[in-house]
Amino acid sequence: MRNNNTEMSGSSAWNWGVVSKVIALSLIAHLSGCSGARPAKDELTKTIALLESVRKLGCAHDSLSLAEESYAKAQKLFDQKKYDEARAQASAARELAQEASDANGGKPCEAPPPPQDTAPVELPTDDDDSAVEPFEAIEAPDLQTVYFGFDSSKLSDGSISVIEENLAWIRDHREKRVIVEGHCDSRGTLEYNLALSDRRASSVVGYLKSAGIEPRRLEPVGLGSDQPASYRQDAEGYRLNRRVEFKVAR
Amino acid sequence: MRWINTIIKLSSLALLTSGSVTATAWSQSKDEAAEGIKVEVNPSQVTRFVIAIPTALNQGTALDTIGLSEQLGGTLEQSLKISGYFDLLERELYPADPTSEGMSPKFVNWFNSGTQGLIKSSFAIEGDKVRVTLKLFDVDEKKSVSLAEGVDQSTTLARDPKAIRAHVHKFVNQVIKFYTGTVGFFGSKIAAVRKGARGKSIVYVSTDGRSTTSVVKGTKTNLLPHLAAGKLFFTSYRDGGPHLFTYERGKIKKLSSRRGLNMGASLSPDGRLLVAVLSYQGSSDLYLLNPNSGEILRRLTRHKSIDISPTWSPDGKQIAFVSDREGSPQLWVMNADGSNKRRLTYQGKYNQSPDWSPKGDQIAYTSRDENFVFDIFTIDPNDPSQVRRLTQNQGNNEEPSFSPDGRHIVFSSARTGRSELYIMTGDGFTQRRLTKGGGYLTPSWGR
Repeated sequence: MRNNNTEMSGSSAWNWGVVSKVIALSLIAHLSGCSGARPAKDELTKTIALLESVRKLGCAHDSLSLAEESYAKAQKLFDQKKYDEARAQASAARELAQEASDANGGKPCEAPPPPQDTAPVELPTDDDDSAVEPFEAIEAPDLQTVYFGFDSSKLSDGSISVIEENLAWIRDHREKRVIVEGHCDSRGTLEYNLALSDRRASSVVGYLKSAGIEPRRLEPVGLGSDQPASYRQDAEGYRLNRRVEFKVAR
Repeated sequence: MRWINTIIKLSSLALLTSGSVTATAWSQSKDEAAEGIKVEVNPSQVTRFVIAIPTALNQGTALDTIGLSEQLGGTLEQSLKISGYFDLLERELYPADPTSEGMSPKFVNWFNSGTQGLIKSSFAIEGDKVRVTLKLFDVDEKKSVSLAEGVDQSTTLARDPKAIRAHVHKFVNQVIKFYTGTVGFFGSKIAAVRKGARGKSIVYVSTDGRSTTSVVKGTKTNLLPHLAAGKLFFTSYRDGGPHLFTYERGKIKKLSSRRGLNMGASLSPDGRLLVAVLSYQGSSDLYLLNPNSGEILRRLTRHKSIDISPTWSPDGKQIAFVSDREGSPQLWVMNADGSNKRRLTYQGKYNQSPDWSPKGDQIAYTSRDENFVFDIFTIDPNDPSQVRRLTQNQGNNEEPSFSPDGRHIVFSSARTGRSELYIMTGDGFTQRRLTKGGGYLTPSWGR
């Protein structure tokens, strides 16, 4: 079973600046008081109106994603008759939506490029389509975990530093077959999460190959969200679950 | 009491013409009536008929010590309810002492009770056999109905609940055909994942929800079953990575264990091609495979994006799939050779899990709505502006799969707090829980 908030697709790595703004706006609105269903409803109405106009601009922006999430939370709070909190959350969502609108000067973003049937594949390719030998992954305590942004398989500078440290161990243990396990947080459909976790594993494997590790020693495995590192259903829990772990084959 | 009957019939007509239901489908012609077709039902409409099921009559000499009467009545009642086409006449409205008329109904009494159909059943227990007779009566026409395949003839069966249930299902399938023109789905199977304490198994669930049979057990994770032409395709981590397997006649065979993902298989309608997701070339793309050997026949997509969840059009000429190549996961369609890719969905930012209906006129899918909740929608692949929402305000509803006749959809829903399978009519009008116990995911209705 999954939670409601799905990993958004798109470019974005997690923007901590925006996150902290959400928290600050929520707090300010919360502290300002003003109870009752009517003000909260008014705030929700204003917010959804702005959100709809921003959606039409067709711009992918972190603030819009967060505004959508905040608005959904506001609605839920309203349904629970927590009107002050709903109003605060809706107000925060409206600020974020306005920020998303301002990001492109309130103008529509350019239409996405036409679909490419044969777009170049930028990920490292491997034409070896032979069957892999069965394996069982066991822990490799000397190898560190790499973390990823929201709906992203991009390696950050920090991730690359971790992989570089692991590389030394992998080079020193030439007899070991390394299992590169990709994981997701729980927000997404099962099949999409499998594909996303596979992409994360493939990104790491691609880096290791480019660093000279023999492809036959590397096994990328997408595990989706089946094996969470954290059961917390908050930003920190999600962050801990968006990861690649290194194991070795028995 | 005739006015009750008139109201019920008017209600059926009102249902047909209300809201998004198209009135054009009300197509009773003389020819169809002669063949017993009351109305043609397609996935966009539901007509419900009132039917009565009086208690089965014991016409033998042996006492009913095995609860056969309850079994016959219970199976009839449950199957008719799940079908979504029938309302059962309330018992208080039954004529007095319906058993006294035996198997020859007094039509005027039943007509006045407001029912349109009547199913009479009788049985006799004879040693280790039972003799069962099921009869459908058209109360409006005041006559017995002759059903196909001899299902309404007196039949001798083993004293085995499964055999008795199977016989009742055959009968109900023909009752549904009499009223709707298309045979019912009972007897078909649904494959699904069941999450247990030790792993995820693949199970078969009967379409009346009475039985769940574990097919692929184990402590490892087994996922994404696809049941077609009597063959089960699934993804399993039993050998390490997510590899593709088949299960047929009790045997499990590995089909693809290439590096990376091997998943999401879908068999072409003619059974000659399998489309699956592989990622051994770096990105998750769609490939055509030989369904028996797993040999790659053609690469269909070549894009750095995520391409997953393929489903065939019933004529085998097109494949719908999910791609995030334009920034968010959306439904796309391409020709079966990989050419002419075009985006189908534009509403919503997260559209997934498509299943193309056997009639070809709808694709059911899961979409996240503006409140971040997953619900089931359909889209007309020939007119993508025609989007219908089938579930709402009942938690997460996902992973739709059409019945073999395209008139029902099985899906998973956590509306009770646990993930169960539900069956709904093609327009979402009637929804019924199929399983209990929780842990059911990603159903695939066998075709």
